[in-house]
Amino acid sequence: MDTFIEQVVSGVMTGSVYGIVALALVMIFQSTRMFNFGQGEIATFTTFIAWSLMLHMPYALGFVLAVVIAFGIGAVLERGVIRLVEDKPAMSGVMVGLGLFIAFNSISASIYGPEPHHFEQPFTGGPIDIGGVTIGRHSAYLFGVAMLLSALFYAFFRYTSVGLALRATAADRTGAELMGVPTGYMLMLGWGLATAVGAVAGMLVAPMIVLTPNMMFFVLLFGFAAAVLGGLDSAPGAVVGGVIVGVTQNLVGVYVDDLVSALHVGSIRDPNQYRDIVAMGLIIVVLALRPRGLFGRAIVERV
Amino acid sequence: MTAGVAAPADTLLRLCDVHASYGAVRALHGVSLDVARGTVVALLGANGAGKSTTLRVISGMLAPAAGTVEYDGERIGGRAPSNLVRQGLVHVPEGRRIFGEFSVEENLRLGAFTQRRADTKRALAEVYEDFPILHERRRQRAATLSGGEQQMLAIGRALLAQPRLLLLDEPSLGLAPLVVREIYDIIRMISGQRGATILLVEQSAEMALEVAHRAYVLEAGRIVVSGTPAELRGNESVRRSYLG
Ligand SMILES: Nc1ncnc2c1ncn2[C@@H]1O[C@H](COP(=O)(O)OP(=O)(O)OP(=O)(O)O)[C@@H](O)[C@H]1O
Ligand SMILES: [Mg+2]
Repeated sequence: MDTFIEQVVSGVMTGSVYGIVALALVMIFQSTRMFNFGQGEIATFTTFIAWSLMLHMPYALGFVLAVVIAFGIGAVLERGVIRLVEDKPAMSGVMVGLGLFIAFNSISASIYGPEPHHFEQPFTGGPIDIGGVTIGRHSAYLFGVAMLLSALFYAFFRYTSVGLALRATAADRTGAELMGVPTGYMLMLGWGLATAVGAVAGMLVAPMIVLTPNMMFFVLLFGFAAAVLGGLDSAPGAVVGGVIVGVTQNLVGVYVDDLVSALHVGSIRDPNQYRDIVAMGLIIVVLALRPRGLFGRAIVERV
Repeated sequence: MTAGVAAPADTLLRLCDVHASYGAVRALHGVSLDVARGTVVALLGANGAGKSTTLRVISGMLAPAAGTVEYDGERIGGRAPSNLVRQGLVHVPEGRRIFGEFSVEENLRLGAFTQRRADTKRALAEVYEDFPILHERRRQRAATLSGGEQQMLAIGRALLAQPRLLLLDEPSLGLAPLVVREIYDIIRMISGQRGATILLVEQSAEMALEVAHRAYVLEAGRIVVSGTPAELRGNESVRRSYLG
């Protein structure tokens, strides 16, 4: 039972990262109805920038500066690259995402090289003990940031006029323009915010693994799953989706091994390979039952 | 009316020889019209005459291919709609473009996007006063409103932008006669109490001529008749094509 609780708790923590990546994807989807497959690689690049900055300044300052720089990169990308394919079929958006993926992966690799870099953890020291369950300090930090960001984004989209205008731009750009919303700026803002959130995710992931040009690859995949699971247009949904993916992965990782040996179908060399398959399978099942995701707005059209 | 002649001070909107097209499809072939401050002007015409296109050119949704659009003494051809909304030029487009997934109140808040927060509260209360049904349904998703309610939402939302010139594209389309009356009462109220200038597009001329001070008839992208409602009612061909 203890293993179970511990696995759930650690799943929640890993899942928080997926949740933050999912938030970034939701952010872009909310403002442009597009998926940015390059999101993870851009996040990695901004994490490298943070790493460089932190060689010369304290963590907090480097963190904030990296977020600001990431915002700028996102806004410039939208204006310079995304705008070219804005009114084109969805497939060109996908291609641009893949292009960004390759471009930023190469940029990171060419500047910083393939070798792992050590990324600082802001909170060091022993794990915290909460009612018999131990939680690493970094995990707790991660979880806190995920909660804070999802609450902020929820409030932003729901209660501020700029958040509302961003959603309107995504839903019907011409309609939003007729409401006086400068939709061009909104798209820039959406990309800037998403890239900033991506940078946060990268800086949180890096200390858990190591900082390399490819570190976000699987994180983005599971972040994507989390976003879809959460319903694409819901900030809290993104984080909850992330947590579900994280917990499922962990539990499957522990118990699939027992299960397979009980079934006598042979031994498993690496249960982690299975856990990802099973986790993704579960997501597909959820989506088959609820296509709008767990927290997406239901359609109740008047007929 | 030629491009060189300055508009009189009481002219809020002036179109001079405006041409417009959608790619290879030409929709307007030299439309000229004047809208005086504080008046209601009706723009009539059959399906495909170019009424909506004219409004789209005025509000910046479509750049004119030739000709000039002057609003409040300034040339505005080619400016972005969002920019013109800030100048008080507000367009309630064909099909209303309600944000169906948003709540009624969110739609109204969007209408007030260009306004200061402090002013919006009062303006929202005013719109709720004028449209009690919108207040009743404020938390409901806008897509669940009836056609008439959606039209009220579209107009109420436009009022929150504090329009000086309001463009209305077929506000009575698809509504029951009783609801059409209600909408026209509202149009009268907007013109009377709020002092807004209105350019009103309609296919069914009857109601429009009742509220309008002046009217234009569009046919195949050209203005063919213009005058006061009395003059248009007296015109045999207008009567045959657009009235009863
Ligand atoms: N998006 C478009 N692409 C191509 N052609 C268009 C487009 N919109 C309108 N047209 C054409 O332009 C002409 C004028 O259309 P417009 O919508 O202005 O007419 P309308 O007077 O508003 O008609 P209705 O009363 O049916 O709304 C028509 O011939 C129409 O087919
Ligand atoms: Mg029309």
